[in-house]
Amino acid sequence: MTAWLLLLPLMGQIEATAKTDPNVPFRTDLTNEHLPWYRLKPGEFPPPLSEHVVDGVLLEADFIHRSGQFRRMDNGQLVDFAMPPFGTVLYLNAEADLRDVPIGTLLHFSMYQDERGAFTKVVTIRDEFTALSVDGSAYRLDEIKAGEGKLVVTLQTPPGGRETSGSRELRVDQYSRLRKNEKPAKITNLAVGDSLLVNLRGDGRCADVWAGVETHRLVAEAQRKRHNTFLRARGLAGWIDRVEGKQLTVTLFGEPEGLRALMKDEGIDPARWATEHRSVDAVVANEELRTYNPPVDRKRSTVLKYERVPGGHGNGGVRWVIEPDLLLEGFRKGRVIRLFAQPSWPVNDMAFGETLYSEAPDFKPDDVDPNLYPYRTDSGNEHLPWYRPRPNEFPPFHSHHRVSGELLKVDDHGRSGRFRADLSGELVNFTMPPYGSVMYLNAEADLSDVPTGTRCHFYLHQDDRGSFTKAAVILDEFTRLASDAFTVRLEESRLDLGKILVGKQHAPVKNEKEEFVRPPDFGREEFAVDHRTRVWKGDKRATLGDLALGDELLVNTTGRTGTSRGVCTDIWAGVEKHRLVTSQQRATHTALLKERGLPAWIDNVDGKKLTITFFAGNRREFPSILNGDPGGESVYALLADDELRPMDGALVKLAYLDHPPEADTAGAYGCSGVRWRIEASILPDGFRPGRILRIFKAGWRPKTDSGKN
Amino acid sequence: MRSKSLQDVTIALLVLLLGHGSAEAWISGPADFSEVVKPFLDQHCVRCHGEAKQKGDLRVDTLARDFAETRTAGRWAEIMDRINAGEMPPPKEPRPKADEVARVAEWISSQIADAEAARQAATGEKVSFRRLSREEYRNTIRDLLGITYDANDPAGLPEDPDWQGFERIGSVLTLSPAHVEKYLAAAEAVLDEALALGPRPKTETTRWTAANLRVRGDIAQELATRGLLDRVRADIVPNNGSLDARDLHVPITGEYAIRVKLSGLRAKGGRAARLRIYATDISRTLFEQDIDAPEDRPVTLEFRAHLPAGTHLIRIVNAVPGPNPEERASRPLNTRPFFRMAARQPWQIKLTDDDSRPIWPTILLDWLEWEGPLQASWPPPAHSGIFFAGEGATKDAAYARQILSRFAIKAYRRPLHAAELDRLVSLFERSRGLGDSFEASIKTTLLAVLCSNSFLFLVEGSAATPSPRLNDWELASRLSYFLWGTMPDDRLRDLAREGKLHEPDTLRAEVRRMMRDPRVSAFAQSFPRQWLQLRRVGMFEPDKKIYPDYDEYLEKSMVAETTSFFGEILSRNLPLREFLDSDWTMLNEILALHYGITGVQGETMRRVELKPGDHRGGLLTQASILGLTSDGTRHRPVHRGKWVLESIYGNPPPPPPPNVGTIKPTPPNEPKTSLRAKIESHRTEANCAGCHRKIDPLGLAFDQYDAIGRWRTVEDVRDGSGANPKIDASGELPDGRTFADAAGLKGLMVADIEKFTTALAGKLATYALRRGMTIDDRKSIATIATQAKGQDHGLATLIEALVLSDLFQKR
Repeated sequence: MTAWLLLLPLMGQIEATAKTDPNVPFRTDLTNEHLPWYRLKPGEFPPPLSEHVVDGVLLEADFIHRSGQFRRMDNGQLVDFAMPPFGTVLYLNAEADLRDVPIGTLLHFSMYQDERGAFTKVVTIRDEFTALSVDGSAYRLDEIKAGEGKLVVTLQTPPGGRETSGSRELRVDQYSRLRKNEKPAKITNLAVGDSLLVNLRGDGRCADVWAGVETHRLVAEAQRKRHNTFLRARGLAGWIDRVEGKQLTVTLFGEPEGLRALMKDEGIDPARWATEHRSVDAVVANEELRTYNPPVDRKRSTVLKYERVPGGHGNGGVRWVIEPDLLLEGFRKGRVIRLFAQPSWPVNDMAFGETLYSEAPDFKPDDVDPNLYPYRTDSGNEHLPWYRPRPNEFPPFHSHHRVSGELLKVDDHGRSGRFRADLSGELVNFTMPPYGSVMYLNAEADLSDVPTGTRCHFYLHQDDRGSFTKAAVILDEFTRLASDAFTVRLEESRLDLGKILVGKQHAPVKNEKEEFVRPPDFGREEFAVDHRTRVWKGDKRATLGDLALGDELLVNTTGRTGTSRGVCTDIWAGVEKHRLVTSQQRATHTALLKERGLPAWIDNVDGKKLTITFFAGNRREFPSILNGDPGGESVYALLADDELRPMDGALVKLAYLDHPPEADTAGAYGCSGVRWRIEASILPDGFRPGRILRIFKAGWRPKTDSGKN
Repeated sequence: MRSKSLQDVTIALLVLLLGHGSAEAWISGPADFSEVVKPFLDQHCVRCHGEAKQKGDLRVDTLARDFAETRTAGRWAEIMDRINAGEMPPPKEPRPKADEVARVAEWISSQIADAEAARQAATGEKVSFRRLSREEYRNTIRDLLGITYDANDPAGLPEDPDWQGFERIGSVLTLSPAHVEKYLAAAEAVLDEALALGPRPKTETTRWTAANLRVRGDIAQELATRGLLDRVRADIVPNNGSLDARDLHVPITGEYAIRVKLSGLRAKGGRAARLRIYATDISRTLFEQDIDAPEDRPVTLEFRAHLPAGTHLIRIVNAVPGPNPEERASRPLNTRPFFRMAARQPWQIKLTDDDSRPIWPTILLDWLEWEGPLQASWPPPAHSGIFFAGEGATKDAAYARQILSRFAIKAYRRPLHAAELDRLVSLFERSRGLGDSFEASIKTTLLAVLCSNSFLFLVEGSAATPSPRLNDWELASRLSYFLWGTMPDDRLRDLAREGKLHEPDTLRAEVRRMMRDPRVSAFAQSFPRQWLQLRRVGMFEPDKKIYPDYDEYLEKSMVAETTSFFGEILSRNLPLREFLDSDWTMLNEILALHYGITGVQGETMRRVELKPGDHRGGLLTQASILGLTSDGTRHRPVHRGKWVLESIYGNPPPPPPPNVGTIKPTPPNEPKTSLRAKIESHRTEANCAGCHRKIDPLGLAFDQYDAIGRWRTVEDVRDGSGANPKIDASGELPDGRTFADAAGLKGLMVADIEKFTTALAGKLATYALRRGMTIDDRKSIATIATQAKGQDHGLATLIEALVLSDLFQKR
């Protein structure tokens, strides 16, 4: 069915005759099973035949991080993938970006193992259109069964030439996109004898059909030009092979033919540019090919030498020696840079979200180097042990190990439960430390507010046995998206197929003219829906059919497994709706806290004076819950256990003294940043450092008779 | 103003001609009037400017020779300029020989110089008042009250003017109304600090973390919540200018301890990073040091600074030359904290190579801490010294009289007249009468003492009993300010009181004692600076493009070589010929690097033995001397020659005539030409040749040293085309002796050591007596020089001979 499938007879021959290939020192898809797979190496383009090709359907694309998820065709497993900097997308027989590829398209992924040995690194993504085109093949349309949505075809190489397969049927439905003569077409517009190129979906139906050799040429040409424009705006990416004195040797990434064509279009003859010492602007980039601030970073560089360097996946074949007017930290061996032909290519910042540097107020810089932390984190320091919670200490940010999974059970007292981890399916019984917090619908919550069956993200620390069971933070997907100002936008409903397709977008941000503009989409993905999916739109419960294209959505889903991305449990449509549910949840939880008292622990005791620090899941919102210091009024405290349940004992009246500066409360998860000094006339025995109190301001109504906290 | 391009530079070709050819003549004094000048005038001038005609209203045969009379001196100066420039005699008249013109010009020039020196000497006054220099004022306050007065701060005292490099010449150090205000303010400031009239100042500590310096508030808060705030460091690159600047609020004037924790990285074979903490508003470097400490092993340094109250903008600078990288990637850094070299932002300038070795000298600062004001005891020692009877004393007029008497005797450096003391007590009582406390009234009165003539001036002589000799009190001050730059100590005062100081044995013992005392460093620093005019070092700042490695630290090290070289000769009483040539010098690491000498580390000056291949030795090949006689772009052989005549032989050549021509740049299509060749071609004018034959060899001999004193064999010429010319440093003295290069010339100069000894004795006397030497002093100077000869021309011996001479003890 695919170009690879076309090769199967040939592969069979190879398998039969050559199980080993002495010419390559690694395992390939066809030979050398006894050898290990080739592993990606810094500064080396992977050699031919070293890839493991997997067919899969694209389910999620993250444009910013050049990553995504697909479902393998052979076993239905979900694969999270990421592309190395030289990773290439070929779509419609031209170079492309993940942005160009529709979700749901069957693609051929050239995979490599990651550090853990899993095949997650994708060096090349090809669509079927490209695979056929590269072979010089196309289908000849032999018969149209319009009523059945079937096209009977025969593969020919070249089009109109030798038949390379027998007759077969291609299926189309209402979601298949057909084009003929540069226009959208219906099945009835096709004619027997048409030369067809197709891309398929995971269900075997056609995602796209292009009819006519000229149409094939035109769509490929359009894609090539689109990608030229894309690269012109972002610069040609490459890596630095070496730095000698002030000179950088740079090999450009890309598919060699595509890169040659692009350079020709742009009037760049790489050899002549070297002899004429033409200029490029060199701009530092990261492994995701993202740049920082090119208008400022760019360093005018003279092209000094050119060398044609064939070989290796992702190698564009062009190597230049350039000399920038100043060396930057990012001009190092192995680092990625982008080159802008001068004087013609504009050098601008990437869009919000993609740029790694901005002075815009909404811009959040990428995290600091994880290796700065004195403990292991999810993104670095593998050589160090994980942080272990210590008594009377809020765990520092980034000390957690994040595990996502479906909340299965909440215990009666609301501070522990069970979840099933995504992919592995492992059942985890977790407990929350006293400062542990829950965020639901982008507001602080009690664990019991979160419906079981909801996929959550658990920030875990190790227990005494070294198992990750201590949940410092639990948050739902709604919160994860909303807290970063993301929503998803409905692009297409395929309800009869049980899915919706969405674009991931950020709320509008201010541009340099102080106008609010919406940044380009950050990604695209597919969500599963079914009859259990609850839809909330406007002031009432709605149905999936009430959702309209362009609606801004926030969703919660069920947990993921190795083969399922989960199903939407709830969809909230509209920004107003999102704000409303957040404020309702916040109000509910605030009322609960006033009823049960604000949790805090005793930092120290000095005579009858206590210093306490309040817990909070959301430091920014805590002051509005506290609603100011009590001033001259008394406060009341109940001693509580580690699960925040009030212990036996009467409410203790204390005088509020003062509020030490917030800067002294630098802490992390669960810390409100607010400390009080309070004084009792007679200090009860249990009021010792490290013990938990629930604090009531005058006028709050304690509820202490419940077994639940 | 500080640098000039070659094209713009006017070569001050001094149009004087060769003197006669005897071995003595090339540095000898001017010719006699009757033998040389009169015959010249008779032959070339009198026909038009004599009895018969007085063209231009000038008659030369009867022109007076009283050069002290400025109108006369002016006429002679004009004659000198006209004949020097070749304007006279007029073109149609027979031309005088070049050497005749030179000798006449030299005679006129020497007469003018003698007259000027006589004016500076002003020895005819009954009472002479010689104001303390700024440096002496500061030292005197230190010894009188134990207080550091920051005299050089902008709010301090004005810079002193100099005469031939000397900054302590009585007739030059005038007193302006601005001085009066400054002295009043200074006295108030030092008494505020010295006397404990209020509560003990609270010692406080302020710490500036790297995050304070570099991280914006909201980002700092974010880092704090992540526990990363204290891991932030400030990466201070070379030449960081105003990047790391912060206001320091100093509540009370006083001594502060400053501590700093930092690393300092250096590139392989390159310079160390250099921390400079600079207070902008008071134009003062509080601390400066090379820092060599790996990134993961920072050091903590502590130093002291005296800070005036107020808000000071403090700059923390990496004071090494280099590109200012952050300036070139202009972007606020306060949102991107630095933690370590390996985690710098990719868009920042590259500070380490691909093997993580530093490329630039870089400082990584953790924090800077200010603690003060420091008070070892309270009340301060000066307070206890002044209120000598303690808190239990009866605070009445009698006690006040005792206090004021004790203080004023020290401050005035002499006994007090009863009337003077009465006036002070009267002032005290008036203050008391106005309701001031006892202590405050004393303070007011002390203010008057510190603003009086008797404190601010060295007063010599008496109108009532005029005497040509100093009394013992005056001698004590002259000696003390000569060798220590400060007031006499108790012993000198005691000897003066006893009237014994002038006795030769006593005086000799005192000189020797004083030269063993650490305070003699004031002389060892100040005298060479003034004698050799070292304040001109860096006056024309070397062009950063041509001399990228030149910086303030190198410049200071250059000066320090010369002053410590002087100090070494002084402390070991080494022969004076070492000034002219030596097989050792004083170096620190940066200067050794500058000279291409290896094996010297650290910034302390130390004695380093020299090999012939080092091309150094003596003053004349020290970078300070070679630099001060250059401009910002190139060496200046004529200036170098003139400096040798002036400073080494005390025999400055006549000034250049007006409107001398310039050296034109070589056109781009012509071969590169050395400066020597250009000067020699310029010198073909007969009128120029005479003087320049005397001056130029003394400068051209040092052509193998560039404008910042680096050795070279090829001159880097920027105009013209082709290869740079090889340097020819050979020369011929007017007496016919020849030399191949600077080493050869130095050998000839050592052979003429007596000339140098006499000149140096004159310079020492000028410094000590705070006046120019006149014709009348020449005999005394010669005698002093002769006395030193017997001791192998030792410097300390020469100084002792000077102090014991009649000249020193006369007004």
